[in-house]
Amino acid sequence: MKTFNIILSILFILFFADNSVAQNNKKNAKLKKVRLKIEYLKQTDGTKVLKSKLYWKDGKKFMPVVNQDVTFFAEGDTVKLKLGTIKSNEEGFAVLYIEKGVSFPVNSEGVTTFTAKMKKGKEFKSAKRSVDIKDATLNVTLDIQDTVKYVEAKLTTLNSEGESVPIQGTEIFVYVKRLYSLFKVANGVTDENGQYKVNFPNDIPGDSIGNLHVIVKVLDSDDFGNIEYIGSVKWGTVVSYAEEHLPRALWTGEAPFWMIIATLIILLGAWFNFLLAVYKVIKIKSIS
Amino acid sequence: MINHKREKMETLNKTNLIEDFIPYIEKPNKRWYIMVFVLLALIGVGLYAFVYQVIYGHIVTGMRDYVVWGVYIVNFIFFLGLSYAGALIAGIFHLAGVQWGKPFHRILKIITITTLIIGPIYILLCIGRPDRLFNLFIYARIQSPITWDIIAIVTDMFFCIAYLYFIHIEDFAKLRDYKGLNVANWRKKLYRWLAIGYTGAKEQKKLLNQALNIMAAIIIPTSIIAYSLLAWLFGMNLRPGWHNSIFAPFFVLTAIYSGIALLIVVIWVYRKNSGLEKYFTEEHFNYLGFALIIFALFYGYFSFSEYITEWYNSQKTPSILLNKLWDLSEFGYLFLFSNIVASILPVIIIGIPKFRSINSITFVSVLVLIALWIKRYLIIVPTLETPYIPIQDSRLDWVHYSPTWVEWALTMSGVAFFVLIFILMTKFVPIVCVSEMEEKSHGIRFFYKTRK
Repeated sequence: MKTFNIILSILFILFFADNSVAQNNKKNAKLKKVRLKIEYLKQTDGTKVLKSKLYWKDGKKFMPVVNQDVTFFAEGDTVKLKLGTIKSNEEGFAVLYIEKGVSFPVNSEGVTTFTAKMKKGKEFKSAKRSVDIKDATLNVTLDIQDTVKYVEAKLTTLNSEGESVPIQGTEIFVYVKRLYSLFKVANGVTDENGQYKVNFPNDIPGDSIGNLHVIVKVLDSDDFGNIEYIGSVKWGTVVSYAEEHLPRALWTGEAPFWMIIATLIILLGAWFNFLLAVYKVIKIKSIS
Repeated sequence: MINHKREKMETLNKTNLIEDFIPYIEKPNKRWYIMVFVLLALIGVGLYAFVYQVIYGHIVTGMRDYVVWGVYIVNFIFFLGLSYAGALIAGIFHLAGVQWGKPFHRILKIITITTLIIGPIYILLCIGRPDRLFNLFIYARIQSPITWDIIAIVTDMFFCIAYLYFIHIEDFAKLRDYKGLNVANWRKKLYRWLAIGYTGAKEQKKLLNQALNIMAAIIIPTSIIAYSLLAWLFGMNLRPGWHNSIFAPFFVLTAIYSGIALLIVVIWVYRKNSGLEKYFTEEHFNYLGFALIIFALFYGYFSFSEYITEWYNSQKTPSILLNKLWDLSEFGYLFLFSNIVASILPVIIIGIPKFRSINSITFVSVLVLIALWIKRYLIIVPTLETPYIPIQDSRLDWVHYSPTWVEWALTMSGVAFFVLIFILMTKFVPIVCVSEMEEKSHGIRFFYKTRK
């Protein structure tokens, strides 16, 4: 019995005891170095998104840094503004959405420095990354001229006097939204007027009334970050999505014949025997 | 180690065994009322949790976008497994004429019915709109595994209730005929009505035996098919860890394993609290303990087959799932506990004579029950947290599942209901099939006749 008690105690300790040894080991372990990326996105409705990705290197693999606080700042020459703190998700992303109308401090060149910062924790070292962004405006026109559909994008920024000036030589991408990803229609560079104009194809399938979501983007610009326009226009070919009236089914309209027969045989066999047993019990009563 | 005298199954040839149970059937004592009150209170907490869930919705549970099946479905599978195991073991014992298994028949059938009632209730708790439950019947499709499961559960319910009643008829007749039974008149009338005029006449006995044989014979395949259908409900889903052909036999094996463990625990409780040592002897515990060892070994074999097949082909998502099962910061402790306890512990503690005793066998059985519940948890939750196509832009706290007090309260109520039914049944009929125990041994039965 004594031996039995000892074994049970060991089992108990193994399964239920606090894993303090493991925790001490963790404390002593070297803190992991975190790599941090930051992206700026301005949408043409005025909202802005600061997206930070955190990861660490485990051997040859990059692992997401999960559930860590990331604080975002916007900084000009004199003012540093704390924008908010977000926890990183399971994929290591911490995303801050900023409503339209929020203005950021700028330096003498009109540039804002956005910073994402993660504090040192039990497992990870601190990490910080900044990106300098100059505010730019993307105006997009979707129009038809002589039955030709075109997309015209104009990219401008404000100079030190506060005047709108065109931005030349920035690449613009035009997409159409599909179910799982974006379909690229065209891309090109803005001219000296800050403009990029491209014809839009006539044969892209739309929804049941021909609507398409046209997306125009500036991607990863060193000066302006990401800028995105999303607009809806009835330029797609009409596709009939009328649901075919299929009978309720798993993989075919009707259950396979063998399945119906097998189910019937099993059920009839079982219920016949059951009723036979019940009949015999009822007969007991009649005998009494 | 407790130094028991070796107890033999001496009761088989005794007559008038009903007298041993009359004190339990007659007026309940204070302790009985306290137990019933406590159990009703626990069920009451569960009812409160249920109302709370209905009013505020499933947000009060830990279930979110990813893990839409939580502890409720774990309980559903666990209780249904116990139910089918009870039916299966009782059917095999009856048909094979296993003499030492006679005292367990009624307990097994009560386990069957009680758990068969509790299990499906958890489905009701799990669905967001219980008021639409009838759609399962209205829009039933024969090619849907859910429809198969509904048919199986309903069929099994009818069969098991009938079987439970049939094995009681002789004892109802004994209670009806017992002179000086100190119970309420309505109960006497009820015994008379339920005994359906059974007097033990030769023809009546023959008919009853035939009915019991038929029920035992159909309950075995029904239970196997029903639990396999439940396994296919998972196996036919294209999800990591589920889409596996071993699931149905593994489910059936795990069910019988948990059924034996529960049987040991129940007879230990009766032995300790109701003084039924002569009905539930050390030999019974030894036999059932050895059954536990055999099932532990099979369990280990099936588990190994399941995981090594999944691991070897190194697909991305199943690999992530397996890593989660081994990761101590995720499901590692649960995984190790469930596999070590269910596969190895019975072999060591029951297999080595020095450690083997009634108490140690029962203790192992309790741990095995917990381990098998956790196994069901590990079938459901990690898989749902690891889909092939993740939901985009989902919050972190919607991915990981953690049961709330509502789910635990309703789980506790299910266990309380199970115990309550046993307590009530003990008050209503002998917990052992008295008439069957008094019958002379038939020896091993043959299901076919040999030519002379």
